[in-house]
Amino acid sequence: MAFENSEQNKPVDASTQAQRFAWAASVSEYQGMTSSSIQNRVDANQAAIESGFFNDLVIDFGNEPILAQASHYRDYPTVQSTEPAHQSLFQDPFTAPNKLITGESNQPNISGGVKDLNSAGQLFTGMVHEGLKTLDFLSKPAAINDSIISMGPILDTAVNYYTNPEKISHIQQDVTQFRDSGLNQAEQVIDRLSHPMNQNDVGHNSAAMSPWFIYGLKKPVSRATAVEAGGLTMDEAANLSKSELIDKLGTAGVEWTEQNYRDVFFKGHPELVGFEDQIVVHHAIEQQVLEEYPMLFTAGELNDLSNLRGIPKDIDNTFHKGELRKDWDSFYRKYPPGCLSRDDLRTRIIEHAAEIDRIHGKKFEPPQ
Amino acid sequence: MPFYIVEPEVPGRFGKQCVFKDRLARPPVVEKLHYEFDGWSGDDLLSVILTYIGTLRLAAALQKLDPPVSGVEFDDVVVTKSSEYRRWGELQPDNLDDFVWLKINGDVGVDDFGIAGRQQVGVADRYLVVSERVLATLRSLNFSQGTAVEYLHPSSRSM
Repeated sequence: MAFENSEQNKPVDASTQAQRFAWAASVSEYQGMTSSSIQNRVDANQAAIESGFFNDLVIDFGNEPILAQASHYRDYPTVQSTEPAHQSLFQDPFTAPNKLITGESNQPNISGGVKDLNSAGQLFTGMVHEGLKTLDFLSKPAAINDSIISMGPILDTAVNYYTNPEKISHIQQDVTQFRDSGLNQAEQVIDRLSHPMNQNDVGHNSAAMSPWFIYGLKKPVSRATAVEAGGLTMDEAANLSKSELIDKLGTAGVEWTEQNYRDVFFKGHPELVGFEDQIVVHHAIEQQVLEEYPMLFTAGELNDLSNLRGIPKDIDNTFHKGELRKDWDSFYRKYPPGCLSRDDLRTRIIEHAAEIDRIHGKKFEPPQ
Repeated sequence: MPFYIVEPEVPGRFGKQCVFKDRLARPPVVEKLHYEFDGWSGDDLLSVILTYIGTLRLAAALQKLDPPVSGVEFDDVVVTKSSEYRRWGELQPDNLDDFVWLKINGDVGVDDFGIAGRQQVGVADRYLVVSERVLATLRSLNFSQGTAVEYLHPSSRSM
């Protein structure tokens, strides 16, 4: 869908960039980010999962199951295949929907595992190398999502190593190398892990959601729900290619969207990357339209970059959830479903969103 | 006595547990109400498409009015937080208050609560109208996101 948005690709001048930086730097959350303990973080994440914020997932490392977000690990295409050391982590997403599926991640392949090592030195060096890559990745914003996924092969390698007494003599040398090379990154990782998760940690990726939408519902549904809505069993779905599954479910009113909207927004506005925890992404034509007027728009249309607006979070409650929601609620009051022809209602909705842009455009980030 | 058109905060929407008798009507005919919050700035009266909920303290304040408040019945509502609410949790109260459903059934310009306007074939134009004392009650609590303008009864406009 091509909503007019001539501003979206304009470069941001230095003044605007400076203002954004000052704005973000003024937010207290950037300060004092070290506190608490790793356990607090685990508790916070677990609470988020239990409250439904994240989809359930248990990664079972023996007696200490680790909970993590799973939804976007399942449905995205494989970026790079790996040869995992821990095969149990790599489950068929169709048959084991509640297991972590690293092979289907859309995240960077931060650790492919260590393989075919003939000596302890090679093994541990490989482990250090993998570990440093992981630490380097984790020290970056929005990396927390991907942290757990990176651990499997490294842990496997470590476990295998330490079960062989002949390899122990190499540890001191390798640990020294590890310490010297990785201390800084490790400190950053520990710093990031030792406070409760916030939007900065989560990054725009953690807003990632299932790419499956059922017509008439605003929120995405799980793959299992999508498959069921399409009249298929999980076994039947497992026997279809991805494109076949998309086509098959599409005929049953289940829509596939390639990316989640926050990813789309920040990829379309790279100048705002780093401010993910400060920007609420709003749909110019509200997602609520999917529920109020089923079949009038698709989730893919509404998640198009041209329909996405950034809103500074400090005005989210008053502007986004205040003025804009009241404005759209007024529209829904005025135009019940079926009050106009499909084309007329669709046009009216697009015009309404454009009118909001005209009135409030300067409040958006970037301005409209 | 003056009456006012009130537009409360709309921090949420109909939740999945709603049971509708007529989803297309304005207001929708709802048998069981589930309100899902995407945010909340703390106002005591909230709405979604001509359907209203209020905090228990608002209900208590209204029930203390003398003579008794008219044009509204109180009923149960299920309230939940959406993932959007939790994602931006630092912007919202940690816990939602207890809410009640305000079922509006009064005559506009007569009772304390009423739904004015009409739904013709096609476009509707309907809104909540409250008495001056109800507006005063709202403003004595939290009505920061709501707006109110005086309601001119059609008969007074034609004079």
